[in-house]
Amino acid sequence: MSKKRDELASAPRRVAIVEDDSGLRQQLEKILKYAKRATCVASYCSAEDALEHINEAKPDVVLMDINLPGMSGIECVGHLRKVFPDAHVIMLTVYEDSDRIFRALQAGADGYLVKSSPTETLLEAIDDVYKGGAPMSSHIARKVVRQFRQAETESSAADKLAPRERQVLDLLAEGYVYKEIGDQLGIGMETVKTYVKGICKKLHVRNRIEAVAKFRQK
Amino acid sequence: MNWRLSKSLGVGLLLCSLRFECLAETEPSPKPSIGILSLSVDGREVKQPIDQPLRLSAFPGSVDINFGPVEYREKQPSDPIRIRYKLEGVDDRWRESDGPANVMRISLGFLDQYGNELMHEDFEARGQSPGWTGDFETSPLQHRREQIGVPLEASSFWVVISSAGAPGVVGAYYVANLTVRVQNPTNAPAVDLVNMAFNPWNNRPVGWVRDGPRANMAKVLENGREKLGRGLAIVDDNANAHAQWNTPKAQGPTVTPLDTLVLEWDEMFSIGLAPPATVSYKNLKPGFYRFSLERLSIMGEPIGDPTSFVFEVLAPFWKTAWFWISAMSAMAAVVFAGWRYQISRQLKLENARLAQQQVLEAERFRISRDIHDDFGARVTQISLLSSSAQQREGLSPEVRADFSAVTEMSRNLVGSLYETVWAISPENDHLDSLATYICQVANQLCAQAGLKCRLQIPDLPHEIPVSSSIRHNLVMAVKEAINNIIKHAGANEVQIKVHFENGLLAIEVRDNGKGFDTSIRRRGNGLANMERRMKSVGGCWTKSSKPGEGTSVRLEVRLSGNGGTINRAPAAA
Repeated sequence: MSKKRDELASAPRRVAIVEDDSGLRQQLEKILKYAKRATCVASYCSAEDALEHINEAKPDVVLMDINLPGMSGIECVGHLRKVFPDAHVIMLTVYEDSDRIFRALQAGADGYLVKSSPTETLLEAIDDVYKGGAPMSSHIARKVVRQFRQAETESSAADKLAPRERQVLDLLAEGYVYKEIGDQLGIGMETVKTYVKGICKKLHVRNRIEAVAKFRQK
Repeated sequence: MNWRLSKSLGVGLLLCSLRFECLAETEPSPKPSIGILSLSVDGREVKQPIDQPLRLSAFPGSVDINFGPVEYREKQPSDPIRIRYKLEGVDDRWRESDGPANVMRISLGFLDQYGNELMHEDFEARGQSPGWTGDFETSPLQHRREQIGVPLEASSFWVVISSAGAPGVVGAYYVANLTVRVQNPTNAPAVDLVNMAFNPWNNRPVGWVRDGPRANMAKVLENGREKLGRGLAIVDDNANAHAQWNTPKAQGPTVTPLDTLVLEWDEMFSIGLAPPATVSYKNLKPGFYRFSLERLSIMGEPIGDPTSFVFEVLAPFWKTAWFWISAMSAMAAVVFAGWRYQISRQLKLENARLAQQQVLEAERFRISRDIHDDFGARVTQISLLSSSAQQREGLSPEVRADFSAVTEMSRNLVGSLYETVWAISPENDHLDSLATYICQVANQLCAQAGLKCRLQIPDLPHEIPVSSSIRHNLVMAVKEAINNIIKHAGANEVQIKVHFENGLLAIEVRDNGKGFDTSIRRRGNGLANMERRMKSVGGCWTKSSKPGEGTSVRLEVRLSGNGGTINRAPAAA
């Protein structure tokens, strides 16, 4: 187990890019080219292109533009989850637009990143996406809390938050950062990230359950 | 045709060339038919139009109606005729002899020693005596007593009972028990200078003679039901002649000047008018009038049916119904048109406003999308470019620092762009979006400054609309407050509480810094900005602080557009 982890840690992450803006796409490719811990295995200019060829590239991480022409990044995430479930998806967004990010998380994204973030932040996020999502800010957490609160009355066990997850989410929504949460709950920061990842997963599961329920109703 | 029409109009009158023909409404009577001879307004004769009721223009000064016999049938013109008339709407009763000379009279004339008349006194009988019933048998006698001073140079007098007067006077006059005596202050037995005694053999009056062109109209008649009384009567049925009873002029009773004579008699009478005659009506008001004529016997009893004709005095144009109807219609039309104009104007304005709003909203979408999709991507690219340039090898520290600055600035610019996009976009015009964004802003600012951020922002309703301007100004005010804390408070924690109840949104920004004494006024640009921003959205802000206990800024704004709950007073919280 530990061996595998080391292996994972040492091998560069295989990253695919889905970005319609050629300038930005080249920038990202360049960043990844010089990065030691990551390597760009594919880049696509549209969601459709990505869905068609993702299986050939077999990336560990997909950097997905949230605002694609044609099929949107959010929609693409949903399909990608089925086509190639192994990939961890980080949504790239020009702005920290809570609504879209939240919808992307619901669709199955594992994290999000503002495109203008420093290079180190991008690379950290690529690393972190295995352990948890990219740091979830309070305004996103707030939306997630709301989503789960609505579900509490009706939901099944599958998409119910564990008490710890619940605590972490509440603290996030109240503005605590990961380190503060770790201190508060007496756990390590990595554990906090794991909880956040769990929350995102359940959000996605919940979203799928809802979608199925909606489909059945129709 | 004419007949039916005029009858249907209640006008028993037909135009016959220039003459008004009046027909009795019953079968033609053997009596002379009577009617209107002419009608003139202010001296000008009016012709009645064929088939139409007579209409007189507004405000006739004087309407003169000349009436009389219009045609004689079977009988001769000398047939006795007496007419009474009435203008309905003006006269409340039948009228006859209103002319000043339409009288019969008793005259007492004083004569000088040569038999010339010095002067005479007339005692007139006009109209009908009280209680007149139409004949001498049943009508009551009325007693009259008059005093006359005897003039100087008078030596004798005579008494005349006469129907002489204006032509056209007809009727019956009955006088009984007439005495003339000298007023006697000493109460000695009075002596009759003149009385009315009758010869028991032939019933002729003693000391009275009849005279006049038609002397046979002067009669001796009994009165009362038992015909016990007897008197002198004049039954005048001739418009052009008269009759009289008088005491002889020569050798009349002698009088002493300055004596007072007392004249006493009993009388009854019915004195009328023989046509043709003219009556005048002044200043008739607008309206319909019916002028009726009725034949009477000489004794004043109605004969046959009255006949009448209708005429109309027109209203001045401003008093006529059509004038008012058309004026009101015109006014109503104007008002209606004005109202319609107003409504259509309002509709147009409203439509224009809605269209404007839609255009504005579409424009907001377009701008936010442009900034979002294009500007944002470009600036992001700049930040990435300079960020990677910064890492190139062999750069001087100055160039590296410059690239770093560009990176930072463009990164901040992306944040600012998003703020603009967020504020402009109509999708975010609701309360929860505002709350979420305040979270985001607070988190970012605090993270950058290394402050702890504590948020107590409950779920807020999506349904409460918050305009772009309010959202923008509130966010800027919150940022201002946080920046103040970062710069001045010396705090390590920022607390933000959002509270919404009864339409009142309150945002509290609190720190755990050093605080300050609020009694010492401090003027900072930040506070002035906050003041301006809250004022521009109709809100207010308060600040409280104590040295060593941190500072708290509270922003309040009332959100409209939440129906009833928005306008209610906030509950004590």
